[in-house]
Amino acid sequence: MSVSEPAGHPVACPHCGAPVSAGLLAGLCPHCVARLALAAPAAWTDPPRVRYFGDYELLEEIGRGSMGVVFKARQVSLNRLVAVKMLLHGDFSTEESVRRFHTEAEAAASLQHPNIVAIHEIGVHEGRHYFSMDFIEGQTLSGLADGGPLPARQAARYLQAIAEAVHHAHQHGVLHRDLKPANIIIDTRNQRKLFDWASVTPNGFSGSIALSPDRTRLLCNPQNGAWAPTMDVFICDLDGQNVQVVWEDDDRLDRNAGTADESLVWLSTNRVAWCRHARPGNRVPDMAIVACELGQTNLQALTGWHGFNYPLAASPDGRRLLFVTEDTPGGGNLELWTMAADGTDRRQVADHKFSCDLWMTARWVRRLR
Amino acid sequence: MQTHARIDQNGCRTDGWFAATHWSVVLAIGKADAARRAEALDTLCRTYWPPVYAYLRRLGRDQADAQDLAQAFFAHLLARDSFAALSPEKGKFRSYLLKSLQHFVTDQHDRERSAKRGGKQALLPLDSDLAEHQCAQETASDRPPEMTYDRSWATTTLNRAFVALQQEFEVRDKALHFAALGAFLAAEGNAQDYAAAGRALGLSGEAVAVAVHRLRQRYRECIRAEVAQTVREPGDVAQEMCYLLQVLCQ
Repeated sequence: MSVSEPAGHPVACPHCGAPVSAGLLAGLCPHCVARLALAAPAAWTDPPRVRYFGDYELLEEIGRGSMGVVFKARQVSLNRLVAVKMLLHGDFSTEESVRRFHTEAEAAASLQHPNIVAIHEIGVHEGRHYFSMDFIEGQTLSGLADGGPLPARQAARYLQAIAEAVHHAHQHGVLHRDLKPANIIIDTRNQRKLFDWASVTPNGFSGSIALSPDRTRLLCNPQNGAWAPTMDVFICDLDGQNVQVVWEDDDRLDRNAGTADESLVWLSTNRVAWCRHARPGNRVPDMAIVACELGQTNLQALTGWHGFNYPLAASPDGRRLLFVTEDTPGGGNLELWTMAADGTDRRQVADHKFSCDLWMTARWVRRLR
Repeated sequence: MQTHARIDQNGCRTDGWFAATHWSVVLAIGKADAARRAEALDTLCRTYWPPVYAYLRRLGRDQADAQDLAQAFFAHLLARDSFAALSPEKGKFRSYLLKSLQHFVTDQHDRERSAKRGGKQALLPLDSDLAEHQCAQETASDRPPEMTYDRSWATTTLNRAFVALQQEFEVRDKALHFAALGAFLAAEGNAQDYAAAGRALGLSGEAVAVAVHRLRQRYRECIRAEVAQTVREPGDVAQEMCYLLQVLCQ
């Protein structure tokens, strides 16, 4: 079979008998072309299976986006399960999409973190660009949340791990730019993994970049609490070497839930307010702080202190700066302490009465850094 | 020969007009400048002259008369500044062109033929020999002229998309691939066919099957892009594509 050169005389199509004109469709039958091109036969929606792709045996399609498709595969040479991502349009991919595909793989490959899906290799096979990565057996956070509200602390732990992963990426000059539940997978051991770096910016980042807003939900069991705060990744702004991520909260948040999780409600509310402050200088400095705060119950257990502890990472002398408040939102007493990383050797450094929201307190803290 | 603009994966032209189709520019009365409007209409006329020629031949005009009359019609269409008469409801350029042609043919009986031809200079490069080959079967049929027009329109659309797709392969230095795989746009093919095509290209039969699948999808996108240039709203594209299928399969 081949596309024929124009013959100069009309002939009949060998399949349907319709006239075939020279110089039109390179001699192909318009009737047959129209039938195949303009109808919607099932054959066009179900691509033929390609079982072997280079060193990989494609087992099943596990994800598909606007630009790429991901397969669960077995790497034949190492006899292990991996995930293989390919450009959706194969040979018809534009140069821009190929460049972004490589940028995604290189960005992810530059990161080594237990909460980031690792990249194995990148290549081209029979004209199709691909890269392979860890295969994670589990469920995305969005899928998990669809099954019902998550317990608040469980959600906070998930987000803590992701915040640490994002902080790691930021420290390596990589912005994810598409943080959302669908890009977070929870494996069978309850480990959180961040993937899909398709929106990453090449060559590091500079200036203000608007992230595509999406929702990461902290859902509380409605029988235990009456709130469901929603946080959006809103704006990522730069301030020197720090990357500040702004989260936008949900106005429906009920601050006076009156439940055992009230502290976490207040925490989330104020962290959100802190993160989204209009002035970049008043925002949370980096994702490490967000990670710490989301795990503040862990630290609370470590220190045995009550109230709210907001340890700051990367203290110059290796100590961690704490501040503790004893009152409810709106005002109270702030004590500033430092302690060693293991929670010992605590020393008070300041005492401050405050009567405003916690983001005002953040400015106090920043002065001490 | 008119250059085909590159079409991206969304079926949009990449020549800077992705935000507007040719026909939507013509219809944007008061919003598009006259020069741009004229350019859009000129582009559309250069693309869809074969259906005009086929219609005139089906009316019984001989080759010379049909060519002269087609030239006169396009001169008349491009010269007049009556876009104010176009209402946004006129969704398809195909319909507008046919109606304009029918009015013109009717009015032609009231005018001196020699005085209304577009002078000695041809405005559009009408290849009447090619058009004759394309509509030879149609002019001999008993279909109504309007149906002949629509069928010629449909084949013109398919052909433009085909040429655009072919050019994409040539730009990527894969003309051989297209020559080997293009025939599968008109036929399903089986495992043996794919294997045979693969041997010429150094690909497995399976890889050819996948390549053919993607080729058909890309061709469909090219057709969609061509059709989109002649309708006003993106939502009209699917309907127009269905109509083209309908007229070609009758």
